[in-house]
Amino acid sequence: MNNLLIFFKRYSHIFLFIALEAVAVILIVQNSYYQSSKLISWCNSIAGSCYSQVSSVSGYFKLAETNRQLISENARLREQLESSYIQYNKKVFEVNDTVYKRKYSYIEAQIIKNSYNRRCNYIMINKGTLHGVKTDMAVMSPQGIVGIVVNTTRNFATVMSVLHPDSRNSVKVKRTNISGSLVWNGKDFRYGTLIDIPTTHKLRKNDTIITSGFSQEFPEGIVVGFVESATQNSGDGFYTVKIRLATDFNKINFVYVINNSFYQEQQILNRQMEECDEQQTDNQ
Amino acid sequence: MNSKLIINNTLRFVLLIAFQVLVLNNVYLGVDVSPVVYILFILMLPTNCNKMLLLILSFVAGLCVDMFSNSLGFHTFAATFVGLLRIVFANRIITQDDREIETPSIRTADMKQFSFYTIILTAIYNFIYLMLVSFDMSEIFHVLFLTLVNTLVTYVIILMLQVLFTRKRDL
Repeated sequence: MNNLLIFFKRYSHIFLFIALEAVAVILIVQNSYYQSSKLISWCNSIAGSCYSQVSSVSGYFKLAETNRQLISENARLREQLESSYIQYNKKVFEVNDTVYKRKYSYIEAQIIKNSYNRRCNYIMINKGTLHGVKTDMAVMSPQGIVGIVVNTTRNFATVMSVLHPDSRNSVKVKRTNISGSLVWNGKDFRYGTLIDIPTTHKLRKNDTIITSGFSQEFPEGIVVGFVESATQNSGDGFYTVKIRLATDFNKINFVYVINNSFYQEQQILNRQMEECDEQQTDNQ
Repeated sequence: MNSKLIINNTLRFVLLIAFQVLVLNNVYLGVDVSPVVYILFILMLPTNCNKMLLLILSFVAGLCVDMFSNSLGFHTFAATFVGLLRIVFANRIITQDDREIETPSIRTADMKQFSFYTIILTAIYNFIYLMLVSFDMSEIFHVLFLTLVNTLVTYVIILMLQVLFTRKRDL
């Protein structure tokens, strides 16, 4: 204690000096804006670097908690991903437009079971009645036509592809607008057959064949394939045309189901026509 | 003797600060060239002066100059620092063989020693003062240059005052 007092007495002028200099610094800081702002920013930068050092160390202690937060955030974000949702409602809805009424709407679907090398080929897609897929709807791939929906369940649908002996679609030659029918001879999935093409207009190789729009299912203009070779039937004035199908059934993955909004109306007329036919045949 | 010393120092204090603030602060010698001749008051305080008193007198002298030159704190800081330097080592420069000097001057001390003593303290004073004013480490070379110029000018003026106003006998 005594030593301490001696120490203070001996160096009292140092303390006085510090006090006086402190007064001078206070005077400077209070009266000179430039010096004080520089001093403050200098102090802040020192404090800031100290804090960043401290936080770089103390950050490790919070790692567990931070990880937990990140995991929960990841889970929350993952929940928002589209892939986390199963589509539960119709995705297709109509816009009420008074000038244009949409005739065709498209439902995208993924093929979950494909077949192309059998006699009767069916494709299964992952959309069903829940998503608005109904029987007799047309199905197309990005490259061209695929087939017609023949069966639907709640979440799935079966598509009869054009690679089926019963499949018969109305098509036309794009260049000449001559229409005919697309069938399949059951041999090669790469090629289809056109029948009922009159020989009045010559065909060329690689002529594009598109859907005619005469059927209720397909809109006009979907690419069907390209003319490979044509043989004239003996006896009648029609071609039998071998066409290269635009759709590569080996590789398709995603397809669109085409919904015709006026299908029911057209179907009513069809039915009436059929009834007329039946009455006529009955009368005969 | 002692009262004479007090009167002399008081007179020197008033005259030097008046000279500093009324004359030197209004003389234009160049950009940022401002000799600080009032420091002579601190330099000429007795070597055996009370340490506390020396510090307080340095502080007050600086404060007075600050008040008149509208730069509160800058001269005070530098002057107080010079006061401390006098206590810490400067006294030893001019005192020969432990003989205390009442009024350090070119008459009472050796010319070379007094010049060294004056130049080193003036240089430190100017450096601190200019550094405080610029307050920017990137300007340190400019500050050093100004320190050199100001120190030389101050030293010349101090020398002239010494020659003119001190007699062979102690004041």
